[in-house]
Amino acid sequence: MTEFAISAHGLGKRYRIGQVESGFVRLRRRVGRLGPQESLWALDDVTFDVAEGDAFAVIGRNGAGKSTLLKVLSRITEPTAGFADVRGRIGALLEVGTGFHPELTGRENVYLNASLLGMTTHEVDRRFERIVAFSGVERHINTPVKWYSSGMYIRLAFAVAAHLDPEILVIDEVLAVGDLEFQKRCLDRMSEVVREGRTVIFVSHNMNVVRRLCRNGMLLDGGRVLTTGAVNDVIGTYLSSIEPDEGGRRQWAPHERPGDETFSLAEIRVTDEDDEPRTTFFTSKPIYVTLEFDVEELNPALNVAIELAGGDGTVGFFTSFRDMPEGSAPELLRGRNAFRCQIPPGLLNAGRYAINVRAGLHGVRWVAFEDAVLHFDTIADHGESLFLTGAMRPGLVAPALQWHAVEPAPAGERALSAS
Amino acid sequence: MAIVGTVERVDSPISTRRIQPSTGFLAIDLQELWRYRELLYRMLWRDIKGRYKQTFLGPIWVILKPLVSMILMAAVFGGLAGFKSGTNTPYPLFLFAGMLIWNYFSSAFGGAAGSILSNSGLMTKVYFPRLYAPLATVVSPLVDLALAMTITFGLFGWFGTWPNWHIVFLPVFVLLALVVGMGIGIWIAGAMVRFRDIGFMLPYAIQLAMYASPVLYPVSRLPKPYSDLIALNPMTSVLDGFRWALIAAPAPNVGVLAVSAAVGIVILVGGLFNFRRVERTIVDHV
Repeated sequence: MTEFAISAHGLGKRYRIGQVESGFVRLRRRVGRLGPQESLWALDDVTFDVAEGDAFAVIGRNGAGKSTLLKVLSRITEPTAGFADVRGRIGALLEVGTGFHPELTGRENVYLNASLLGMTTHEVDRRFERIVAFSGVERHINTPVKWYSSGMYIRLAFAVAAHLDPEILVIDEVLAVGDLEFQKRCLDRMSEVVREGRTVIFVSHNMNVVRRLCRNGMLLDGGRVLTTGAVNDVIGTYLSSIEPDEGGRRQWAPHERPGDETFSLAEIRVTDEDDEPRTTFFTSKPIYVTLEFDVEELNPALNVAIELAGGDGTVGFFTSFRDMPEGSAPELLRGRNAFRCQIPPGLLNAGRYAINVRAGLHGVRWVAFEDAVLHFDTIADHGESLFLTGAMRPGLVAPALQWHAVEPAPAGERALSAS
Repeated sequence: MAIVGTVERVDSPISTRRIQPSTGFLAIDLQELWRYRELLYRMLWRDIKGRYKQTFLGPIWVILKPLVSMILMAAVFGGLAGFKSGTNTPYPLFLFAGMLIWNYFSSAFGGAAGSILSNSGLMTKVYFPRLYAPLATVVSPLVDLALAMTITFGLFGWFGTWPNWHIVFLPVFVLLALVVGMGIGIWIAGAMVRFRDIGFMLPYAIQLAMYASPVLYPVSRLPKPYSDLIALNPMTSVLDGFRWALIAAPAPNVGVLAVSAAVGIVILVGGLFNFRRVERTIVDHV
């Protein structure tokens, strides 16, 4: 039998609904003039085990009970029912800057924060150099943090938390902060923690990160456990459980449509093979982008295109329906047109993409030039070797290309090209 | 052929904790408080440094406040209303000593009462022994008290009286003031989260309580039933004892002192149990 780090049985947490009601109403309720408040089970009969050394993901949409579960496990609040056995200290990676005091210096805040997380001065002393080096604020460590930039603040806060040594580390969406470079370092540090054999409980909306860091996971919905198991299966269940209309589609009201009488954009959607609009896709499957637009006045110079851009706006590629050879390109009609473009499997990298709509009269003017009308995320799962290394590939695309061994060029030619 | 060996599993010192709804009376987890002891020190430092942030005169304010209010009060109550200390202690000195410890009590009490609210940002994000929030807020104003006490030496010179050996007992009564402030404060701390109105009531309550405590007048000046009843006020023992120790005021009535001190301790012990009950889920109401 493997040792468990956390073993929860029938864990439940009830909240009273309507906690924003005024103190007066609550007083009357206390006195008994009003009936009991309605309640809601934020966690309902949650049972799961996390093995020691596992990297365990808790996923689900907003309000599924993920944060409540973390709060109960880290003893911020008590459960209403059930129990959980926790082996060892649980350290929560604090929301950035929690417990930082603006008047205290970076150094003082490191110690304050660490003691909040249950570390002793002695433990911090041993790690202090590493913490400071990780954060990159060496020069300002004796400056009150109120003079810090928000980036420095975040980095220092994360550095403290990342160098904690609890047996179980709980992480809730912290990677959403900081610049890309720092996020990458955080991720690397997380992978390191996992490799060290520490138990990690990870809550995130970012399926790429979840997939990269975690081995097992649990899907929560409405406070209940939908499924537990290998992280890929859990993510799959999660993605297929997302209601199609939750995203992946944008429509414009008639008077707000980009364009004019030659092209007027009505709707754009990104869909999977089953024609369901989605916000998250696997890169091993094709992704379809569909534009619906009205044409009142047919203009042969009209070109309709999209750009696919990365999260930072860098354009990955531009594609238009006129790229198709003469004859097989879709034909523009008066009235409603719906053009679909397929982004082939195995092309995109993992990450967030934005779609820019570009419609124009060739050589005359742009008709619609709309940036980032729709976003979607991808989970890279094409290619066996591609995404197993842990680190993310650079670049907006990550095609698995052909590599072959060929005959080396004759020596004479090599010398020639070197000169 | 494989050589099969058994690896002895060394029992690690990692302990298992069961997280579950708690029931019944809950004792204070002293072990845990000890484990987190450094947190108290860090929180104190945070409070103290935060208090004097970017003030030029910093500590001067702490000294000026009781001094100015003492002068005003002495003029109104001592001068106009003709209040006396009841002994040969000069009334302004009597008043100042009383206000010193009363000011400490009121910041300790106010701080402890608001400690959950003021630390709610932390409490909703991380677990730590909740008791340290009120404890830090009652300990940090001790610095103010110590600073303000320096001025009493000026007053001693002015009035030509000096403390005697009683002063070694001063810490006892300061501690008693802490007990009372913390005791009442933590009774209110939980309720204050749920009923914010209490926050508005507190300043008035403290003001009223001052008149119901022997700050402006000595117990000996009270008519008969009241001079006994005031023993139920835990601050009576604090004020009487503090004056006895600091300015060598005459010894208070031992019965009154004992009853009053006992009331203070009972309030604290009850408050601790109540706090334990409340702290378990208080963040749900923040």
